[in-house]
Amino acid sequence: MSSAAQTWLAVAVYALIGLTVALIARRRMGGGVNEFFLANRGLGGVVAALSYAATTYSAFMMVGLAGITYKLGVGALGFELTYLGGLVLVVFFGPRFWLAGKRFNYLTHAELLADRYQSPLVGVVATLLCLVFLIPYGAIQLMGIGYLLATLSDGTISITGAMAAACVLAVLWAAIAGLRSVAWTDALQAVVMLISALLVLGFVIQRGFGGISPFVSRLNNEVPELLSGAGLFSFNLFIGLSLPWLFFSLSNPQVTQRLFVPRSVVAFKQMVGGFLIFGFIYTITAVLWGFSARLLLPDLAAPDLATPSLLALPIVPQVLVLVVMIGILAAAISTIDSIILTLSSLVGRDLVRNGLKVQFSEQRELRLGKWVVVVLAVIFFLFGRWAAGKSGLAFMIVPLSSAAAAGLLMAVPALIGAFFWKRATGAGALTSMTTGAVLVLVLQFSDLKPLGMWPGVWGCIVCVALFIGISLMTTPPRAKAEEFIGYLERELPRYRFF
Amino acid sequence: MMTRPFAYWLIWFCVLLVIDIGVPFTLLQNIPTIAGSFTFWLIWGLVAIFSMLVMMSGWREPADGDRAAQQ
Repeated sequence: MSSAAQTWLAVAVYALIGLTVALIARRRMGGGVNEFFLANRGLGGVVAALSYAATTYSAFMMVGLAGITYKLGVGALGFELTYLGGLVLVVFFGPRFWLAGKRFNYLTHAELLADRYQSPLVGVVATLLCLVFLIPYGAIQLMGIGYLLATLSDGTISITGAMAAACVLAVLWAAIAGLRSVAWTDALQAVVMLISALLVLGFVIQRGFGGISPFVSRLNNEVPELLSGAGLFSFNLFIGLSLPWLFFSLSNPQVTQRLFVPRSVVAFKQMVGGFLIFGFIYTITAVLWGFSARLLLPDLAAPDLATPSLLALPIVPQVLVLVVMIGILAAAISTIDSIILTLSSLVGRDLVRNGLKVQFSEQRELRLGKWVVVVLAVIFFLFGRWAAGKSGLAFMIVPLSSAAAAGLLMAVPALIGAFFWKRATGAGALTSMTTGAVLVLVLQFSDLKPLGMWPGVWGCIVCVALFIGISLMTTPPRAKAEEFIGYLERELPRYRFF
Repeated sequence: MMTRPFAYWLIWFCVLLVIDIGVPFTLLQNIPTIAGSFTFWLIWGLVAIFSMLVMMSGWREPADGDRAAQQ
């Protein structure tokens, strides 16, 4: 069988299993917007944990992080584990999202912000921020899939065809039963992602090096420069990459929306705890892939080739290559469908209903959401196709990923203020988000790094200063602040939350 | 609202963050083996995860039920 036929067959089996799972999830589906976008706030802990993992970890991990390790060394482990440490923000803020979401029936983080600051415009700006920064990010995921499948099929599968197939799957899994089908397929995909990655690592270490000891010994002897300190990471580069990741769990709407959905305190604990363990293992695996590629294939033209080249080595069985390809595909699609679903809820609720004041029933909002899912997938596809045709992945992936992470960070001060600072105002939130986002975009695309600091760092400094300064100069929505924060102050101790 | 345990944990994680960045860029700068930063970050990750699990261990459903869901 040709490599193209094998690749398509593997994708077809994966799609069939995913569709079956999505259709089973549909049988449990009720009606309404909360059901479609939040699984009626009733996800169990294990599914929520695996879904959180599949949504968070995109194709970036096994391709990008392995590539960064290949090029810059152990600092890649540091910044990715720093992200995992940043999950303490979920431990602090997650219960607040969860309680407030149930009490005030919030569907999105933007709706929470708009209500808390008593300004629909805050919700609109928070939504636009997500659209501006997540559409390119989603398109990058598609491009990653396109390049991966095209490479593994020796070019017989076109990049455009692979991206189109991924779009169709993402739409199906988002549209069949909303978050319920997304979460269930995510759970399945997370298992494939982790097991396939571990299996490849096992084969590479055993067949490529003869075991763990020889592998470690070669690492120490052949690439000491990648193991000293943070490897070849400069201090500013490490901070520039770590800072947006540290706040990822609060800045990215597709993960903050997950804070609304656990069905109980136990499910919430299982979601966070399960994800932490998954993330720890997955991170180490990706980094060891990168180190293995560096030792076995030291002369690659580009670090992003580390994973495809490692998989092309004869020490990895062909069938496993297909499984891991599906694992990477799963990582990308599970991120795309979650982003699409979250963005569609933001467009329907925060842009159209609350922002444009369009009065419609829950059913019409739901219908709109489903159409937006399709439209967003088309936009992702067109953007990805344009970018892939224009200059290729290497040109787009770094600036767009960095811009997305840094840009979304600009909503974090307003979110923290919403929960902790009664003096915070809508004007402060609006100014800090818009100015911070514009600054990040300008610095990112002009490639300017004043004082050597990355755009996200500058954006953060300006954003926090403006949020505090403008809030102090304007009038806060005192009644709402009292109601919102007062409610949390009463409820948090009952659950023994912090 | 910031309770005392919240503040203690916040300080603990700030300390962890300083260690996370500070140690590899200073003390481990001249240890070019896997026993250096690689092992340090693995242990750091485990400490951070364990701390979060401890933080969550006390969380309970309230004895008088879930009022938020009832409202």
